[in-house]
Formats: sequence, structure tokens, C-alpha cells
Amino acid sequence: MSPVVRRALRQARTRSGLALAVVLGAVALFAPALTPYDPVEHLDPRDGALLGPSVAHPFGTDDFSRDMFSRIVFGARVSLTIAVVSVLIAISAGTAVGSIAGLAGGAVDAVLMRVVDALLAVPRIFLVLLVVALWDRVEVVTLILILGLTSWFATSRVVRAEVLSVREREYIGAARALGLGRMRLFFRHVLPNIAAPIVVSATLGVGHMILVEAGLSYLGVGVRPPTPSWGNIIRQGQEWILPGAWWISLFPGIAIVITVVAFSLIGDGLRDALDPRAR
Amino acid sequence: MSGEPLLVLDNLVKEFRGGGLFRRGPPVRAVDRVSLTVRRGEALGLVGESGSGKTTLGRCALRLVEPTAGTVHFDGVPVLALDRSALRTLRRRMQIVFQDPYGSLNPRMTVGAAVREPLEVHRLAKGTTAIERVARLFDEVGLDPSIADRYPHELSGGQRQRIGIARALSVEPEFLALDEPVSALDVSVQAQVLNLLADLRERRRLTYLFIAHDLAVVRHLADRVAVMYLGRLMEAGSTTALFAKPLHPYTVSLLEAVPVPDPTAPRRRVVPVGDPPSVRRPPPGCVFHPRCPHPSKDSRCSTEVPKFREVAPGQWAACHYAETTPAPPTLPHGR
Amino acid sequence: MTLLSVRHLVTSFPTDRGPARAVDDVSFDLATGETLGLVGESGCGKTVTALSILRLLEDTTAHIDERSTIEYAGRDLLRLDRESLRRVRGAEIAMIFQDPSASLNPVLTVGSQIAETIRAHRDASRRDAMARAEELLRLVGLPDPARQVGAYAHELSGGMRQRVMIAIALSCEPKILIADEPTTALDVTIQAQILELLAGLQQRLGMAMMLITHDIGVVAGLADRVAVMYGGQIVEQAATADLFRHPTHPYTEALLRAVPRIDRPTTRLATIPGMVPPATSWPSGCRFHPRCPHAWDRCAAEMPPPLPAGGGRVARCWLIEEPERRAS
Repeated sequence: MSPVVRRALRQARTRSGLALAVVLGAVALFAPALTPYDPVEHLDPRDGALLGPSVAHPFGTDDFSRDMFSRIVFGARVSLTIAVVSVLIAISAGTAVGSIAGLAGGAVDAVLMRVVDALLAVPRIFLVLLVVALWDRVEVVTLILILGLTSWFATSRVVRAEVLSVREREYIGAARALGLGRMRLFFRHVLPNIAAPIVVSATLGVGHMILVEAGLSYLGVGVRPPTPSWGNIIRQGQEWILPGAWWISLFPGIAIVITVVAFSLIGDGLRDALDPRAR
Repeated sequence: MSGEPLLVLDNLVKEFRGGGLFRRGPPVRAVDRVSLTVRRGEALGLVGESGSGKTTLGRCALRLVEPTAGTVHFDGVPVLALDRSALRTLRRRMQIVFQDPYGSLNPRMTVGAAVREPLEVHRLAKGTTAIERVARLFDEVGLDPSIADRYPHELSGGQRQRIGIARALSVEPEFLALDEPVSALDVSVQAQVLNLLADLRERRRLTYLFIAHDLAVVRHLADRVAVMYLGRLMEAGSTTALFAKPLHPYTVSLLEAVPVPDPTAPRRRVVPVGDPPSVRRPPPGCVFHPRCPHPSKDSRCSTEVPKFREVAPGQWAACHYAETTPAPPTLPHGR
Repeated sequence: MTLLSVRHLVTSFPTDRGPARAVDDVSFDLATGETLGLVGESGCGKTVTALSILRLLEDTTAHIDERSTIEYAGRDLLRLDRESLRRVRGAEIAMIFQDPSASLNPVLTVGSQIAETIRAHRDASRRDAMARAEELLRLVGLPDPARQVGAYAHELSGGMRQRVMIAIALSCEPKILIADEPTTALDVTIQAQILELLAGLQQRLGMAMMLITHDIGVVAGLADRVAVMYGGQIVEQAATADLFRHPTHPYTEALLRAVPRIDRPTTRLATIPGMVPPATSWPSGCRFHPRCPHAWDRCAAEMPPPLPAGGGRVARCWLIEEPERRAS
């Protein structure tokens, strides 16, 4: 096991974060097994709407008499999938661009970095809203793509910096002296040595992406109902807070907090484990 | 078989672009028209201090760095003219061991994988055959094969250096460039590695280009020695001849400067003055002239670049007055 | 006259695997005007010893044992209050380090760094301190000292920076100079110059010097007495000529035979089997016994104290008491 991982796991916070994340992942994965009701089914339109938390409905029901617990559990599946997959896309794109820029140098590097600079200058919400507005119906898959492809810029900068530093290390020169080709050099020698900061970035990115997706869904431009997403549930519950149905917005909010905290703990733990001064 | 030229460097020049990040300064000549031959089976020691260009020369010889001018021939093959795949094939025959045993190993690769990789890349062995070969190589360099699954940071400096040697040997090269292979090691470990290098050379009939700043180490291992200063060759000759009667005043200074572990040895008298000049602005004429203690030094030295010529049979020097260079006063010669 | 007297110095660092005793019961004296060479390979504890003398490890996790004493001018340095210690550092006992670039402040001129040391210990005006700085630069052989006083560290070469370090160290005319690998980072011709400089200055100023190095060639030329360290202890102490001619401790013998020589051809270098053990798990008894060709059961069982071996030589080796055990 990598010494960095081992060091990270020695910290209580990494372990807690990891435990939480594992639980969340399990919840998302086994959603159908965990939920007694169908998340989009209107159970009892006459008497079953807006019921407070009870044994039958631990998180209550909403105005469409849907079981909130089931909705939130499925919402976990939706939100986590979106966050994780889009971060994966972002990391891949960012690593690709950053590596090319760092390894090629010269004009290629300059052009790529100026493009990244320009894209970074645009506030992301703007960018996403723009793209979403141009599309008519945004399904989850499209949403993932959009989020992923608008989040790789900062990663590419980090990766480029790491590549530049690793490139000059003597073991790269040694590998070239041994006759290793460029592909092998990159995948076996450069990439493993720049992986660590990328992983940290990815972990923290998931937490961040949860918030972004929640925000978009809250605004109405992310996941559209009836597909449950924590964000759109909060939006839906907003109008029911004053009338007294506080549970609709609260539980998804707590879920978001727990998720973001979990991934932040893991990311922080990893980042500290990477810090050479802590050795 | 033995004795014929294996590596021939002819008028090699390596310039780096001078100046800082934005300014384009005058080019810096790290290597300035160096011609050197390494014969098959011999160990040539290349010595010099920092700024001498010896490391750059080593890298040019292996084409790890592209020379600006000049040619490199390995066993008759024009190294600089090869395309990428031909160069890769050539790499099997000429290998290099680096100075920093930690930096030259990928920290994320087990040492066993690091030694196995060249075998796979050059298609010399795969799978279990490769693992066996690696175990034999470990044995040959004096390492316990069971450490193959460890990472570099778990091993000592001496062990890491042996891994570097094992890795270089895995492709069965004929020629090994050794760039300061022992300077980062403790004395006792250095002794082990030097003995190993001597054994390997004999057993595998290797040819060495041994780059070092430590003259005592070079004396121990090399058959012939070449001395560099500010990118140029100052002197070259057999080890015995050079240490017995150095021809170039710089060589004399170097020999005088090395501390001898013998308290009864006469205290040095010929200490070189001043600091080495900057590589950016080398002095005109003979580059060593500002610090040269030769009694016959005159205006010719500051205007005319001395030719690298054969002053005595087998001994070459770039000095106008090499014939009359005073012998180092504190070193016994002729022994 | 004895200037510095170190007795039973023990410096340890806490680690995951228990305390690491980097310096484990080291005792030695330094007389006025004398040069003591402290030699050893990496991990032997020589640098930690030097840093312990001036208590430079106090901001780290290092711990110096209560029973250790370092006597200087009638006082125990380890028991001094901070202000008195401050007055000793730099003015009475000065230290120079291996890497001059790391030890010089890049944003201050060289002259002001010398001057600030002077003004920290003496009552001098800025003008006087700078004048003295210029004098010192001349003393250490820096060309054109009047101009170099205003130079910055990065404008100087490695050798010149080390000269500046020496100038700073000498600015208050210390009685003792501790030099920790002062020439290791320098080219061999520059090293020769610096060593000549140190020898000359020492003679002129009547200073005592503690020269720490891994290079036994350096101590051969410069030191009056040599202490060889291994495993956190001094395994042998002797006058330089004696040590080289008749080494007592097997480690010293092995070390001398492992070094390639420039003054004569060497065929095969003698090696020491095994490796230096980590400071968290020193072997029982004599530290060197697992690697010693003469070791017998007593060596693993009992740690030899420093034993007199005649002629002022002292070594931690049972062979002194039982010379017949020496393997041939």
C-alpha cells in the first residue's frame, strides 16, 4: 500500500471521512433494497401528503405524498453519481491537457495555458447556465458531461505544474537512457508520480460538485423532477417550510452537509499525508 | 578485440542558451570542442570540478542531451545520426549509472520492477524468466533478491546505487558511463561499490567512462584519465603516468588540493588562487591562465588557445609550456 | 589548558519506534589553540554533537540527558540561562556550517550580516561595525573587500560565501570555532584554499577548532587530535599521527583501509561487512561488534567504556584488555 495512503489512514479524520463515504456509497448503491417505497410514487394523495416524520415514513412525506426517505436515498444515488462521474471526466480532461502542456512545452504549452486562463476567467455558474439554457432538455447524462467539461481547468494547471517538476527528475532521465518510449515514460513514470495531488483534487472535487449540482437543481436547471436530487428536493420543500412541513428541505440539506464533510475529510487527510513537512 | 576504440567523441560542443527567463544572453559553452576516445575494455576516468562540463559530456556521449556540434561514434555507429528506434536499440549497448541513487529510481516503483522494466522494454525476457533474471542480477551486484518488492525509500544509499547498477546491467551493455557513482555514498559503502564495479568490469568485460571529481577514486579505478576545466580538455594520459608526472598546471593544482589521509605527508604549497571563472565569460587564450601557477606563464597564455597535443608518448595536454610543468612538490612521484 | 569539556553527552530524539539516541555518551576535551577532528560516516552523530554544544537543537524534539555536562569557562553550557547562552554563541563559541548558501540571508548584504553579529555582542556603532566587517573580509581573503561589503550572497561563488561565513564566525574573536563539514559542498581546489585559510587564521588568532567531517584526509592535514565516531559514540580518540599510524579500534582500521588514496595506487579496497544500524536499535554491547572481524562473546554482552590504549590514545574496544583475541 502506498505510504501516503497509509499515512493518511493513520489520521482519525481520514478514517471518519472514509467511513461516511463508504456508508453513503452503500446507500446509493443499494437504494432499491433500502427503500420501502418507490420514490416517485404518489402513495396516498388524499391523506398521505405532508405527513411529518414517523415510523412508517422516517423522513415524512411531501405534498405529492411521496415517501421522503425513499426520495432522499434515491437522491443520494443521483447526486453522488453525478458528482463522481463528472469529477472523473474533469480529472481525465484536466490531466490530459495538463500533461500535454507540461510535456510538450513551447508553443503548445503556451497556447493551451492561455486557453485555460480564459476559461478560468468565466464564472462557472455562468458557463453552466449558458450551456444548459442552450440545451432544451437536460438529462442527467448531459448534465454530467456539462459539469465535467466545465470543471477541468484548475486541474490542468495543477497537473501541468506537477508534470514540469517531475519531468526534470533524474529517474525520468534514467528511464530515457534505458530506451523507454514516450508512452511508457508517461504512464509508468510520470503519471504515478503526479497522481497524488490529482487524487486529492478529485476527492475534494466530489464534495464541491455535490454542492454545484445541488445548487443547479435548486435553481431548477439541474436534475428535473420527478427524478429526485437533493437540490431539487430542497427547492420543492422551500415553499412548505412556512406552512410547517420543515422536514422536506431539512433532510436533504443534512445529507449534503454530511457528504461534503465526508469527502473534505478524506481530501484533507490525503493532502496532509502528502505534505513532506509532516514526515 | 581489446584496445580498439569503442566510443569516439570528435570535437564535441554543447552550448546552452544563456540569459535568464526572458533575455537571450550569449550561449554558454558547457563543452567546448572535446575529442576523446575510450578503448574497448578500458576504464577512462573523466575528472573535473563543478563547471568543467564533465557531466554534460557524459550525457552527450549517450545522447541524453543533444550536442550542438561534433560527432559521437560508438563501435563505428554514428550515434547522433540515428533515428529514434535505432537509438533505442543502441541503448542496449551503452548504459549509464547516475550519481544520486535516490533520484534516479522512480519512487513509486518497486526496485524489482525497476530492474525488470528494461528487460521487458527491449523484449529480452518476460514473466517468470524476467523475474529470474532480476534475481540473478541482484545476486551479481551483492543484493539479497528478496528485497525486490521494496521501494527505494526503504533501502540505504548503497543498496540503491547497486539497484541502479543492476538496472543498467540488465540489458547486457558493453559500455557503462558512470556519473559520480560513489560521491553520494559513505566511505565504507563507497569501498563496497568500487570493488563491485571493478569485479563487474572484469567479469563482464565492460568498458567504463567514469566521471568523478574525486581524484583518489579515479586513481583507484581508471586505466586512463582525462582532466577537464571549463568545458575543455586540459590533460589526458594513463593513470600511472598522469599521477607520476602531471603535465598540465591545472592537474598539478588538483592533485595538490586533494587531502591525503596521512598526517606525515608534507603540507601542500601549491594552492590554486582565486575562484574558477564563470562559464559564461571564459578567459581568452588558455582558460586556466588567470589561476595558473606555472613559472613560465606569459602573454602567450592569455592570447593563444593552447592546442591539445601529445607532449610525451601517450600523454596529451593543452598547455604551451607542458614540457616544463613543475612536479607537484608534496606528492611522491614515480611510485 | 582545557577550554571545553564535554562529559557524557546524550542527545536523543523521539521516534515512532522509541527514542533514537543520536549521541550516546560522548565525552571529550578541547584545549586552547587545539584542533580536534570529529570524524565519522553519516548517522554517527557528529553533527548532532556539534549542535548540542551550542544547544541549537532546543527548538526541535531533541532531548539532552540531565547527566550530560558541557563545561566552558567554568560554567555548564547546558545549564545556562538564555541570555548568558546568547552571549556565548557567536562571541565565545562560533559555528560554521556545511552549506554557505543556506546559512546566509539572501536579502541582506554580506557586510551587514557580519556587522549585525558584531553589534549583537559588542557595543559598536554601525559605522565601526561595517569597518570591522571590511577588515574581516580582507582577513578571510576576499578580493576587493571594500566593494564586497555591499554584495549579496547570490553574487558570490561557493568559496567566497564560505569565506563570508568564516568572517561572520570570527567577527567577535571567539575562543572556539566549530566547523561542521565546512568544505564538503566545495570543489576540491576551493576546499584546499578554505582549509589553508582556516589553518592560518587559527594560528593567528590562537583559536581552538572543532572540525567535523567525514573526510579523513581533511583531518589528517589539519587536526592535532582526532575522535572517530560510530553509532553515536566516540570509538577512538588519539593524536592525529598516532591514529593514522597505529589505529586501535577495528572501525578506525577498517575506515583507513577503505579509502582510495591519491598518493599511491590501491588495488582492492577493504570493506566493512553489513551496514550501520538505525539509531533506534543499537546492537547490544559494543556497537560495532556485528561488523567487527575480531568480535567474540564479550563484545556482544558488554559495552566497552573508553579504555586507555597507551600514549594518550583511548578507544572503546575490549581488544585493549584482551589483545590476544585479535583475529589474524
